Amino acid sequence: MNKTSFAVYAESITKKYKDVTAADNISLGVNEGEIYGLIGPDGAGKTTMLRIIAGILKPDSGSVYVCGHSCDTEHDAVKDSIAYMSQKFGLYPDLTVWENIKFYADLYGVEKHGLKEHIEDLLDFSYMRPFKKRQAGRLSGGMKQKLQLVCALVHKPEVLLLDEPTNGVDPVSRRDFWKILYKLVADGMTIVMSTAYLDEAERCSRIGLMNAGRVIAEGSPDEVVKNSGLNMLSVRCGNCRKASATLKKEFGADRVHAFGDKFRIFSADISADRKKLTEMSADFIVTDEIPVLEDIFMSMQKDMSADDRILSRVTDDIARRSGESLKVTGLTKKFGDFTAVNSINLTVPYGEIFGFLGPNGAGKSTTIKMLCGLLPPTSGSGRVGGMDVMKDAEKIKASIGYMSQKFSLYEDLKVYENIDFYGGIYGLKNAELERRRDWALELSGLRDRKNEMTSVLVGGWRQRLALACSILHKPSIVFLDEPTSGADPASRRLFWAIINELALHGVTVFVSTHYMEEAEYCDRLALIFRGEMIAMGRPDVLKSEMMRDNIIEVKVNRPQDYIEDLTAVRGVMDVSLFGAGLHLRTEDISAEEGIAGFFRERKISADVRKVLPSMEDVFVSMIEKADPEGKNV
Amino acid sequence: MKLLTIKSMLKKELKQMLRDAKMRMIIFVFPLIQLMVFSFALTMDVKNIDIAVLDYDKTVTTREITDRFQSGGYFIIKKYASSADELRMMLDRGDVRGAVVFAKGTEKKILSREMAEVQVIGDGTMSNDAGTIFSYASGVINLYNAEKNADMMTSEVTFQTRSLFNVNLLSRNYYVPGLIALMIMVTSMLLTSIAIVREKEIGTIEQVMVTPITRPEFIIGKTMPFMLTGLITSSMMFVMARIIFGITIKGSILLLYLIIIINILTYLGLALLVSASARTQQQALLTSFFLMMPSALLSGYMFPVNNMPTAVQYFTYLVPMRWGLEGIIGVVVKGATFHEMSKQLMWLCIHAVFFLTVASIKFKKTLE
Repeated sequence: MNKTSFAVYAESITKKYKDVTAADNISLGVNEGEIYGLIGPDGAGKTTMLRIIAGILKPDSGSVYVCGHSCDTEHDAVKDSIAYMSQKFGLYPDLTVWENIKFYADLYGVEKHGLKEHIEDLLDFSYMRPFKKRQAGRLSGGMKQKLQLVCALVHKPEVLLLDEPTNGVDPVSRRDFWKILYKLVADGMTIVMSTAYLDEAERCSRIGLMNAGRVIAEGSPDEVVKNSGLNMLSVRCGNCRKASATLKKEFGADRVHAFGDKFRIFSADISADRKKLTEMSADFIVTDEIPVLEDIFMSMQKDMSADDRILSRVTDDIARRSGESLKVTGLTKKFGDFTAVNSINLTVPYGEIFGFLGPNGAGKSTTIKMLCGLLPPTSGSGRVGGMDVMKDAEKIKASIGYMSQKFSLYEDLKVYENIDFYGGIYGLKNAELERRRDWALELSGLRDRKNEMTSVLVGGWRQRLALACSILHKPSIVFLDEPTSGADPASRRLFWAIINELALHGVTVFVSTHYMEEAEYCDRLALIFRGEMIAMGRPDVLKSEMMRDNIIEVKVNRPQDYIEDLTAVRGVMDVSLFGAGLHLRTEDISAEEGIAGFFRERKISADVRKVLPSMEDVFVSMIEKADPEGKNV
Repeated sequence: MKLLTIKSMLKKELKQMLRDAKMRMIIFVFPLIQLMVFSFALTMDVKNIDIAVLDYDKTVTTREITDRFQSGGYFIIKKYASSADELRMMLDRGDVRGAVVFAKGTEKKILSREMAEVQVIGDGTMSNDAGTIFSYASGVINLYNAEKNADMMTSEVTFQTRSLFNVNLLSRNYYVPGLIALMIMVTSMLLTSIAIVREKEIGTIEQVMVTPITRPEFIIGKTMPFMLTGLITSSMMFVMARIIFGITIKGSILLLYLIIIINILTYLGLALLVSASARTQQQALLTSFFLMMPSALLSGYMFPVNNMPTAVQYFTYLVPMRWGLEGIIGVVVKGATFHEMSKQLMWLCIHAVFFLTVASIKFKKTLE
């Protein structure tokens, strides 16, 4: 390979931390003008790789070339041609948008002449101009990420390195963010990014699939799936819990995965397995499936029996309850003149999974904090677990569990010390503490790592440990504020399986999330926007009733090139990126023909068809209805 | 209040505190280093003052007086000037901080028992030092006069001075215990105010607030470790003071610790107040500093309270460090008893109760 023909070229990179190998002889090349995605489970080494390319981490061996310059010898040239956006918050919250950008420009020594125009361009480019005088700390989550991106772009780099840039960002802002990325690539920028969202992975020109410090597959997302050699069958059945045991016994625990209301089975011999399945039970509806990236993730996880062991212990000692767990009316929270939450009404029975969706800053966290007694409501009334929200906030705390959005464990304590601490303040002692500690270690899968410092844990383990600590006292109502933010697909799925177990045992689970596929797992959803609940109901009802528009899906190469032209097609109300393709919202079904015609005229092969709206479509269309001018996103 | 909950908090705090090597340094080593450095550096005793001599007379008598300046231990004759201009230069450059000038004919006057004058010059920019130079110099001259005139002196009233408590008038005996009082304030206030705000910053406080832990449980669990470290640090400092400077505690150790404990309680209350309003560690640090600076200045540690204007003197009643300082100095240096310290103890208690009450009212278990 010729190092200079690549925008980024890494040659046999190895990096070890104590006893962990984060990068094990990795070589990869990123072409000019492509989006290269580093994909992989938590702790695979994605962040390490990005840091090494950015030159802020020295590899133990190997070398990196950026735009033909060696990172070792031509440090300055490399620094000028790259921009790196880390997962950490890199803005000054007290400075305005403009001042932040100006600061980074000065830091990089961008020439003063024409700087003002350049910044104005960037602001227009990222749709941030209306906010240039706002303090960075007061921007919504999605806008902060955009501002960070603009700051990274101010010195006109050639290569952009992004480490999970859209973590914790709502779908609408995420679409915006990607529009910007596509514009950059169209201008010749090279982007290397890591992401935990698989729909984003599918948008990359090429991906490097990482596991345990190695790149195990490389190529376009389609190629990676195709070359994986996986064959899938899916089984839909009446009684899933019973079927789970039977299927796992028959096929092995690591080949059977629950996925929504069906099971996906990795199959070595499709026809034989299909036959076996149809013979097993008349209830089974067996279909062939095309594997997707998520399946590859699941297949990378070796020991699935661990998940089963975890799930079997989730509801140890939890008493089943029934009836109404929570009922609030007119719950309102004001901060000065600002109404963060306006008159929310909710009635939720025990055993329900209730989801909160909404853009960043819409009031989801504030609502959750009021319900668990962390914030006193300005007005409203209601009962949580039988206790009055206004008067008995302290008593409520004994019967609920809460996992905050921020990391809620002490990083400078060991794993078991965190458990003991929370156990202690929940009043557990001696034999009971012992039992719950054992349970918490099992639930988080950290039995063998209980003496490690909490700071070394990544993704799924961290989140499961935080969950375990917050439900040590066996609460009957649990509040989870974006619990799966940034975790990999496999640990997210396990986390949701745990939530499901809890609900099956009568525990009410409130959960907020930005992953729209997770919203589908909820029994009911509330969509919150600007402090108001703009929709509430079962996911399928929301999709069919509230979403009256038609959704046409277009699968085509370089979908971003057609967004603008497609908007002009008659009957099309909105065009947006969806996975690797486009979703078009139309007034009626007849627009489908016009869209197909659009591609026929241009002699472009495209797959155009009407699809059922996804949760993301519902979300975006509701927000747009509530906020036609897009002021809040 | 549940003991188990408090125990869990305490255990966690101590583990976090002691695990961090930097924190261990700050708590246990820094105060000792401060004690050493400040105690050696901070001294009001003027010793080894460099002076110059300008002797126009150049006689046996003037040389004898010059020798007396040298041998007293207070002055070092660094230079001999030959002219007034040269002397002036030496003073301007700061080579010497004072000078002794003998006029021509000094010896003659002394021998003929006429009034002779010896001029002593002091560098007035350091007013304190200059004053000391003058008094030492007149001491030297007085002693000389007394010896010379011993044979013919009949009766004259002389002073017999004796300093109480600090017999040798070593300023160290005052400064070292005072510094301990200061360090108690600095360490307990800074560490406590940061400790709570740090949890706010990381976000762990949310998780703790949502448990059934009560406000007093949380406050006690969060502050007591710093009471403990405060006591350990001050004990270590007293041991050091004993070993290095030979400063012993004259009064009752029990009374001393009672004073320190009540004093620390006050600071913990103050720190809680600070952390209830601060959102970041920086804010907490700065607020603490702005509280501690005037405290230290108005406590009487550096400037005696009696020298302050009356209004300010009354104001110092509100400064917690004043009472901690007076208490510690009283017990350590004067060996004061419980009864004698009753005024200080009363004020210490008023402060502690006041600040702890206000702090626990202000400190909410909610997030606003």
